[in-house]
Amino acid sequence: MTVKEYNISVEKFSDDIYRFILKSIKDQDVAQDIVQDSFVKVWKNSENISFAKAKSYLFSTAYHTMIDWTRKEKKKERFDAINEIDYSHTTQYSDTKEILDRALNTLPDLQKNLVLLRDYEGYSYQEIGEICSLSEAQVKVYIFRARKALKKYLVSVETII
Amino acid sequence: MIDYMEGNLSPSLLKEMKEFLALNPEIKEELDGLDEVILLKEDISFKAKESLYKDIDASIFEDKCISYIENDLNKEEINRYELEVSLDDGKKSLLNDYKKTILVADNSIVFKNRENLKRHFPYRLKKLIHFSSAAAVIFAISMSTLIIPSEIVGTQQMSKNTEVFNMPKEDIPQEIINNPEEAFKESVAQVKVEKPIKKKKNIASPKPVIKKIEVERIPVGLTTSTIHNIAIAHKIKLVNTISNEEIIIREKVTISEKVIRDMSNELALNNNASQWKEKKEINSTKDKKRGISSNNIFSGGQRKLKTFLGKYFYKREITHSKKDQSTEK
Repeated sequence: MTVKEYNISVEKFSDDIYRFILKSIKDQDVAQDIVQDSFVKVWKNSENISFAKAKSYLFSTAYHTMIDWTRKEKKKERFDAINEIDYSHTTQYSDTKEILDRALNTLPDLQKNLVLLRDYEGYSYQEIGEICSLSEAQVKVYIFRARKALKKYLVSVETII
Repeated sequence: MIDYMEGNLSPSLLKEMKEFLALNPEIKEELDGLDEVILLKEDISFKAKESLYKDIDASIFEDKCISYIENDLNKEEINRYELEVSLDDGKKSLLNDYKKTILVADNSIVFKNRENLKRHFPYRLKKLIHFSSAAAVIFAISMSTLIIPSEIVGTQQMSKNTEVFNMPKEDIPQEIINNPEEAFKESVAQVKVEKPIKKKKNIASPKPVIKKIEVERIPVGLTTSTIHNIAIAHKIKLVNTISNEEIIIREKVTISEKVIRDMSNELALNNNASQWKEKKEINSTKDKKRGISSNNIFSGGQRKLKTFLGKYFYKREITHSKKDQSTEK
């Protein structure tokens, strides 16, 4: 990959990767760091990466960096220390997108990441499998489960409303 | 005992057990009562069993919905599915619920520090240019401090150092004055430079390094007689023959202010005349010795030293080797 191609990759994919990471971890600063780290890694190895594979390489690097961060920084709280008020709200659900965003947060991390890659970037099952180190069948199963869970959440919220 | 009560004993053990019980009638009495303590199966069933059943068709249909929105169905399956959905409002509603689960990217979220990620083009070439520039500067500095040999090139056939001196107008051949451009031609002199032998084991004699030295202009058309005449006129010591020994030339050049003024005036008057320009030879500072290939001054490879501009030009010191044979007038 030439310097020019690398800069084109920055132009085309930095927003997409940032969006994907931000939706997963909900932390802007960390998301920026992960994006920068990913591009630095790609730049260091740019001579061995073809431009055609740059996007998948970037997403794969970002995904694994995010997973590493999640494992290190995941906070755990004692259940009895939780204040329920912090997790409740009285605002109306006025936007399906907002509801969907909340539904997404109820999914396990892996299912959430797979659905994000599928819908945001339009990756195939095989490509997602390569990024997340899963088989195609596994990806399919996780996405199916995620869809059912999301639909169930949406229906239940609409029923409540 | 329990095995006996449940009838799990083998015939031999059963026989032994019966003999034992016959010998111990009080134990036999206890066992006899236990036969009656057996739970009977009751007819109890789970009434909400029906709610647990899954609609196989509905489950399959949900999977079909997901496959439909994931574009996993082929053409024929899509057509069948769409027909099925169109006939049932409930299935249509279910499909719409699944369609809502498709995420849409929020394009307002952008990475702000994008420009910091980019590498300046050409990033790698820039480094190479820097190194190349530094190397070129060092090379130019080293070359500019080298010898400027003062030597007249008599003929085109000179393969050694060449120099052009400013000549008085009356000494310049007519053909050169008439057509100075034609008279001067570019040529490239090749100098064979012997590389110093480094102390290495099993090393063959080093190959001579051929350096190409670009010479700007070489005046042509100067005959032997012309040069001799000029030398005589200016009472210049002419070295007719130079042996194959090396000649060491010191490069110090000084020109007085008066000389410079005279030269500039002459040049201004003779713009079309041959402009003998001082040339700088590029040679290694280490390699000031130049081989001489023949004894004839005007033949190729023979180097000639001239100082016919005794008044005009620079001082220089020339040392000859012992084998030089010089003729003086």
